[in-house]
Amino acid sequence: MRQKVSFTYRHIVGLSLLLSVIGALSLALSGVLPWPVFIAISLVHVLAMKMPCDKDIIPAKIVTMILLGLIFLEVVRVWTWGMGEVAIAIRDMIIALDIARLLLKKELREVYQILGISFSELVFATIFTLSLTFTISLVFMIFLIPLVLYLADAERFGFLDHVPGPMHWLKVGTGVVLLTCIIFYVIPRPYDTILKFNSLHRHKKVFSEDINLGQGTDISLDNSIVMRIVWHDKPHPRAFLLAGAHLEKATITGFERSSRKINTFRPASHPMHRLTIYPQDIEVKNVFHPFSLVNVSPGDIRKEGDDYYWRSCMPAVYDVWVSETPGRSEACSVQVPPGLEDVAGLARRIAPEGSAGKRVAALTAYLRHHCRYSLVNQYKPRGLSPIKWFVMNGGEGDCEYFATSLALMLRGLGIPSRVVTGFYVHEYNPLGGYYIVRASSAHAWVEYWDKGAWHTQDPTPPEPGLYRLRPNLIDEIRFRWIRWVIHYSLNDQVYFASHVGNTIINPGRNAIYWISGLLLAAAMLWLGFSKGLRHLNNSFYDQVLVAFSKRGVKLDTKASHGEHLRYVENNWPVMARYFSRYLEDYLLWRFGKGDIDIASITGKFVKRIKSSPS
Amino acid sequence: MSVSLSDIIKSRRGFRLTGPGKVFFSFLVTIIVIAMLTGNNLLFLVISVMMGFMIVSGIESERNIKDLEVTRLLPAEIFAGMQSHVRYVLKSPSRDTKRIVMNDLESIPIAISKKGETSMLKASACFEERGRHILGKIRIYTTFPYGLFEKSISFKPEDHVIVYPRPIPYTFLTGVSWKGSKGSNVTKDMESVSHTRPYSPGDPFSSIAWKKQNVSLVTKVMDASSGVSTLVVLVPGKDIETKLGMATFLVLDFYARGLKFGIVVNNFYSGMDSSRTHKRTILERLALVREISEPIKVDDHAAESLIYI
Repeated sequence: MRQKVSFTYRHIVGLSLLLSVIGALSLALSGVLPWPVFIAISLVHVLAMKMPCDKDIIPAKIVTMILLGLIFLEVVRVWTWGMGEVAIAIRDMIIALDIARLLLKKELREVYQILGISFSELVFATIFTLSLTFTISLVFMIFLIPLVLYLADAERFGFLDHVPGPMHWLKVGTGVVLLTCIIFYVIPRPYDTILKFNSLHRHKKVFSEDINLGQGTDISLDNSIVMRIVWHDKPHPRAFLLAGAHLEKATITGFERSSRKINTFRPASHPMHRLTIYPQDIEVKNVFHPFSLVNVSPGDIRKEGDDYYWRSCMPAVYDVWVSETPGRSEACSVQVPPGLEDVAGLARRIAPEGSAGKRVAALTAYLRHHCRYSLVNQYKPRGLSPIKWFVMNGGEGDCEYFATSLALMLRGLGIPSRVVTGFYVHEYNPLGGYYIVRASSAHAWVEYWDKGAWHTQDPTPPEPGLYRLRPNLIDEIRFRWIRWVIHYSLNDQVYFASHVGNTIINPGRNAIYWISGLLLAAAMLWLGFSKGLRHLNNSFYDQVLVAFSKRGVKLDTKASHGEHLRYVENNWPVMARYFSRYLEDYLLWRFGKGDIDIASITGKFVKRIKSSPS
Repeated sequence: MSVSLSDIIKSRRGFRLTGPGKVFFSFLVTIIVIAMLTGNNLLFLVISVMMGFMIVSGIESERNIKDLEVTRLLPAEIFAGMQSHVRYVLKSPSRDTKRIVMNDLESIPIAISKKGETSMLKASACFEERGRHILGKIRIYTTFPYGLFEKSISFKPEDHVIVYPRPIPYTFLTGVSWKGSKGSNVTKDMESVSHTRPYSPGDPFSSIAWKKQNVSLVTKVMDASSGVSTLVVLVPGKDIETKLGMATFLVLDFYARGLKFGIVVNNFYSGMDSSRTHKRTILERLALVREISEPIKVDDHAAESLIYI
């Protein structure tokens, strides 16, 4: 399609203002700019579009004064409230500059400035977002910036005609996108990244480690994703319990973390399973892991009792190696808080004797039979312990009620037990091959000590249809974005490089693809290079000169065509007649008749030179 | 002609950043530094976009000026101190070429050169001094498509041009002596007018007249050697340029009237002829004269009159 579009200077200004709106959009998409403010800024842009381009809407001096005043206020703000306000101050300044540009005349220089400010907004937004939606503004810019720069350059040249049509810009945008993909994965990454240390200040979900049934919580109704987990070994389990904190100190309303001494974490050998955990918007310090933890990477953690904590912020991605062998740390207390002796007594009546396993099973069956699992309508009578009410009256409650009740009842039987808080991981996305952990999957269960090891027991009644093997394309795209863009790292580059190296050394079944790829690349290179050589030769006539040269007829490049002909007549008379004819065609083509197929004429003549006897 | 390694290495291309391009690259470098320090992959993504855009821009720019052909057509005669018009034939066989500037004797902006069409361009030039001049490469540059950098391509035609002496109208006031033909000392009347020609700058005031019919200035041409073949002899003197200028004027005048003419300067004798080749041979010789020494003795019966300058 060779459609041409007509543009005027107002179009250039209009497009640059549109880019300015997209710059503000990128800030809004990254959560830096509230949406109402974005809408207000967009309206200002619309108004500016209707204003004349060639004069200031507000005198430049006043705008400068306002800007200086704003800078002063931002400095005061940072001075008063600390360095945490720097980012917001920079955002405000960029937006102020953006608006100021709209109020001044918009000549070509200002158009470039508007572009620069818009792009700055985009770059600034990258600091605050990990979201895939950020690419919306990026893609808009990829397609619009070339157009505006093209028009600005055309305007500078004074020739705004013959602007290519939409198909051209589609091709340009697609080309930029493809090249972006290649370059992005090839650019070397630094060893450490800001994302590894997760220093971004974002709104995150906070989970309390301790259980206090006296306080209500609605986190279990929140369906947002807090983690994604890749289970590297096969087969992967249908579901598993992801432990966060082990609570050993019983209180009248629940369980708390006991203040045990802090140990240095020492990785064990022979790990069984490797999991990669991608937390998202979760603000806790726990190292989450199923079964018992063997190793963690990055290893910047400390051990506190049977719990593991990050020394600094939780990293954006980490690996854990776990073993299904039960942990053998040490037994905890069997203390039952005063006021809950009735609960302990009830346990002794329900399971008076038998092995620990049998007694645990009996108590679990009792709880599941007499109490009802519910996330809502949890009745808590005043002056009565919620645990006592739950166990003694057959109340309604969530997993925390069941877990704390069982743990206390076990303690009543003299079995060391504790409550573990974490997540019940049961949603698997087969498209991406990973587990989705939602806030609503937060869970509590019990560990009891028997035969020198900790064993797990989940007293909460199983929810029918909880195991989910649900293909989730949208989340898979989101996860791929996180995995292959946000968390793409030097490790991945090294992995790919070694994988490519291994494949070259041991091609195996992929050999055919590699050979095809290499042949294709070689063909493209050859085409490009041979074109380059032809280009160096500069013209068809040069090909003739090269051919003559190879046959020993050296023609001076500075001599005229007539002199060339005379030289050939003297040195190669047989060829002179053909050369004369060729020259006629060549000169006709060169000075006017573009319809002559000089390429094929030259080709034939060169062949004749090569094949004719000297 | 073979493509030597030096030809391949020695690029004909030039590259220079424009103002917006410098800002663009400053942005790029800054973002690269920040990205390397922080490892923020979204910044790496922005860098990739910018680099991808640069590559696309380079490809488009390359396609714009690739395969361009330029030929410089010099005027047959160039005189010192006078405006000459050099023509260029520009052709873009493969595709439309947009927004290029051809820089040779002067910069000529070309908005668009359509695919396959031949564009004729004209530049004015004035060479102040006679003699051999070398015209350098023709350079075509463009900021197409996005104005971030200026890419140029140079074409090789390094033409040698010989600039003839500036014609200085010949008058008797300049102290020129006449000899009659075949050695007789006959002095002719210098004041008789042969014809008139359009005025050209530099003509002596005494020769200028006003022509009522054409309402324009004309210059009277004196009938010094009407109908006779003339040999111009340059003798040593102080003002070489004036002598050469007058000789040039006479040669042009004789040629215009279809008379046979010849010249003797130093040890060169041109012979007598009235052809264009003859005229150019003489003018070229006059252009390249460094000094005037005693002329050689010439005994040419074809010359009916002699002019000593």
